[in-house]
Amino acid sequence: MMSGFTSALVLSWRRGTLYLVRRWATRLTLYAILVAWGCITLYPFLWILLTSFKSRWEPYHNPFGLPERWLLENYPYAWRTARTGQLANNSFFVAVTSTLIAMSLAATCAFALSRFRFAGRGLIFSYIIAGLLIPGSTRLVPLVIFTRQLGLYDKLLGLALIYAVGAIPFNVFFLVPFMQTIPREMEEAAIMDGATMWQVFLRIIVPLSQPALVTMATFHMLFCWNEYITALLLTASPKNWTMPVGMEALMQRFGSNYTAFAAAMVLSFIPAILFFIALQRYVVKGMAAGALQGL
Amino acid sequence: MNRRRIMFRTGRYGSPLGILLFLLPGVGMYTLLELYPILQSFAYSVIGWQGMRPTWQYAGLQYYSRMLSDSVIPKALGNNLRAWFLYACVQIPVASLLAYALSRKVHGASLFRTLYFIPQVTSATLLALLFRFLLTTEYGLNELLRRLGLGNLIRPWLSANGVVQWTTNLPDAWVGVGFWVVVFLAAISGIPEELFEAAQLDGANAWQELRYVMLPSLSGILVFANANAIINALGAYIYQFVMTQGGPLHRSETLASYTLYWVWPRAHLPDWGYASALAVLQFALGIAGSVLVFRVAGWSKDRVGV
Repeated sequence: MMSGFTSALVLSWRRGTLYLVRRWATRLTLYAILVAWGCITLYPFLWILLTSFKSRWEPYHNPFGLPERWLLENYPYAWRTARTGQLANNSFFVAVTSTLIAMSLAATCAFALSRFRFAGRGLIFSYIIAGLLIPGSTRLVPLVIFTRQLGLYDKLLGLALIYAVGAIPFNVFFLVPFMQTIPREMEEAAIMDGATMWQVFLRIIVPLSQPALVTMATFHMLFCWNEYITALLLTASPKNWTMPVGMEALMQRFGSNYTAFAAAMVLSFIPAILFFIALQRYVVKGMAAGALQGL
Repeated sequence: MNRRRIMFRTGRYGSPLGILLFLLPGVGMYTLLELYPILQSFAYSVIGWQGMRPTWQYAGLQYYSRMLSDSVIPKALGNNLRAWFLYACVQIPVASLLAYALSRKVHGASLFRTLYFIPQVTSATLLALLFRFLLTTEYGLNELLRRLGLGNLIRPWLSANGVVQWTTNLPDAWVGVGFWVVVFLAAISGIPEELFEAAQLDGANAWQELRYVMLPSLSGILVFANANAIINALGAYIYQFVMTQGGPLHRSETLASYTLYWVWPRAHLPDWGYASALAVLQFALGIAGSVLVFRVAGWSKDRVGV
């Protein structure tokens, strides 16, 4: 009996140790995987950051190591030559204006589609959602011609409007289910008190849809900041270039001055990354919700 | 639903006119700037062109017959297929592995998640420039290989046949990993923790847990991810367009980047009629892809009961 107890103890100890060893091996593997992908993700950014602190010709003999001397002179040079300030300004203007327009257009539409029942409601909803299936690049040629006719060509406001309208299908798709979950009681009480549709929309529906609206606005801001091809095709004069368009054009101008170009790139990465880190819980929540909704 | 209708000064709440006024800006703008241009694309592909001006004379299906003998289109579709392969067979598996690892209560999980997501919020154009920079032959990756004594691996990464087709597609697969990690993590948080605990009690190791607990519970979202892979692969163009302009010799072209080749020429005359026809082809393939995806998704829903 004694020996049985001992052997059981030994066995359980062995099991325990084995379990612990295996557990630690597993944890270690998990961390190794996470860190490995972290390096793969971080490395290109780190490389460009290090390059931006090097002197003009250093990358040729020292492309990967730390800078021999940490120089800041590339940044003022890039700021002046790349006119990064103006590019950022344009991108910022487009992003903010476009987000305001996008949210207004989508929210009014979604309000009508989610809070009322009327003939053709489902049809209009499908009509808008159909836009999700259209690849953005298929309407580029007509847009170039059409925006010229409408006087929207080579104007930042025109670009903002095009972005905002392009986002309607996704935003409506996202907002309608959200607005449908808002309880009707408040709305009914407001109606009793004599509120108009407009008042109900502004005072009840918009404030209660705030989480969804903030998420979508964050997405849209990032989209506008980063979008390239439409901005390239719909702007002609360099003074109306947005960040990506200007940077692409400037890569040629910088020629072999890699370090200055790296500095310009760092300058253009920073705002989007900071903006994302500040608002990441909305982005992450929205991504997850949007994708899970797609099921 | 209670359809109480109450009278107001301004008319009935929810009157047809009121609803119409709320719908009009969004639906109107959408029709004008989103759908109408698509219809124009269709029209542009069957009319004659004088330079960059449409003549509005019906010109038959000349652009479509030209497509049949255009040897770039098969090359481009081949690259779309490569993009799909990288999304479906590299990006999604890597993302699900990372999401599993992050869901196992590791330290710094949110830090990793944020880090993985960063490429997603930076401009694709700038990332493409960055990779062009890193892969150009004078210095960058090749220099690194040389220093590591791997000189025989040195390649002209952005021009060699059989290489450039992959290097132009890889960055986008890399970027998307962070997105799917976030989505998969959200889905994993919906899996009851008891399932994992039960598996652990039964002595399942991490791999078995991943394979037999997590993946089956995620089948719905995985179908969605694969559906997206098809649609994204069809629409891929930005890395090709910025890194190599689809070249050299159209080697790294995708369908969309080839469309842009005719829309926005760098060293030749544009051909907006042909570009429109290519856009229509892309549109048709996109719709076909989406239908296929919904079919497959529907099929798997029946099968796995998600």
